Amino acid sequence: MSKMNALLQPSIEKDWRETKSYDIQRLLWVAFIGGPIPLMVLGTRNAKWLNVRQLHINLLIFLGIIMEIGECAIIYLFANGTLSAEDRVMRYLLKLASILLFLGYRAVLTKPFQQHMVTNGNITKILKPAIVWILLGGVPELIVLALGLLG
Amino acid sequence: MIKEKETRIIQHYFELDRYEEAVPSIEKLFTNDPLDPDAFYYMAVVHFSKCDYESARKMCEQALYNGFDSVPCYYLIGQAYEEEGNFQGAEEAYLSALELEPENGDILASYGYLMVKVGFEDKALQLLEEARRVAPSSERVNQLILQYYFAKSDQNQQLLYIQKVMESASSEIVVLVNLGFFHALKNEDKAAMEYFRQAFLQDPTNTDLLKILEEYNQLTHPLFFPQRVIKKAGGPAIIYTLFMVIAILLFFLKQYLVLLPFAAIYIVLCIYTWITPFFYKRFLNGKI
Repeated sequence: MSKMNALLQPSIEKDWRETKSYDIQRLLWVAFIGGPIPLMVLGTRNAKWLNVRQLHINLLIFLGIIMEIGECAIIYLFANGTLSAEDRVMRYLLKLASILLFLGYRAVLTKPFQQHMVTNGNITKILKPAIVWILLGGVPELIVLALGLLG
Repeated sequence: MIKEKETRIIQHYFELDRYEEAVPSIEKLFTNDPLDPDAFYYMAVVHFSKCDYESARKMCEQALYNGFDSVPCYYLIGQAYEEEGNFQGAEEAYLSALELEPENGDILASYGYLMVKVGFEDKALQLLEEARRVAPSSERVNQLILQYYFAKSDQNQQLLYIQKVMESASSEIVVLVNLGFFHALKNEDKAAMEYFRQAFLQDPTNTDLLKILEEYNQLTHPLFFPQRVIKKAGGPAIIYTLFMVIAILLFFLKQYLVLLPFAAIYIVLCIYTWITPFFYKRFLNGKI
């Protein structure tokens, strides 16, 4: 009976917020066009909306930061001539790394997303934040490119 | 006398889900007694069926004020709040109902499913289990437990509860729609469409089912066969990753004669998947 009494106590507090989500498949385009920074920002935002475990979010942010550092290093090496501009494989590998990061986000988001779709069903539009973050995500890479060219 | 006769008519329409046709009888109850609590409750049910949740709540509150049985009133108020997205209000109403009748399976299950929506999953599961214990053959309880397992992607439990809903369901449409969702969540679009089609044939006036059918008509069209294969394989990201890995491997092995047609096929596939939705909408939508 005491267990039942505990179950019949209110749980929803005033600052409670509903789950929200982008269409997680669209994050693929964010990863493909924008690379790790916009993917990290929008993927992490989505993961928080869907109450994904903080450990998983932090792990993906850590991987994203490593990937971004690697990308900046490669851009710098291209810019200062250490790597040949015709070396396309390196560019494809960078793209592939972003897609792998997307797969990581998809892996942690799929089940909470399905739960959100069954219980709520609303999708938040991703186009505007995606454009903004793809543009912002290009800024550090442009700075590194400029540093490489000048240095 | 009038009350008994009109109440029978109202309940008959409610059983057939033809709520609006009960309105003249409810109005007769109001003419007979403007403060009739039953009439207020029946009118609340009619407003709820028309998705006018605010009016449903107000009518229910009036019914309560005039002495109608509190439990169904609180339950309907809770459902109305839930539909409006006011989950805190819904919780308060469900708890008020459960305070009076803690062993009401339908309300326990509704409160449990509300807890799924707001993310209190342990509590949700305990409430749903309690609901199952007190009302194992209730259609509402089994349906909400099934929805919980739909949300949790637990296919074994989904099958079990589809079976239970089948045993307790009052209409075949509910069973067919559940089977449709079961296959839809497994990405079995053709099987899902077949069940939704059968459900629609049972009730051709159901616009929600028509919308779902139109969507599945597109998904299952032969034009979208490559998209279905890609979806089964894990989505575009997996296909892209596989393509890139193979392409880079072929590049390092200097197998350019294989690499070029391989890359060309991939690019054609990408273009095909991009243009087919536009082509379908422009030339085929509603024509097949």
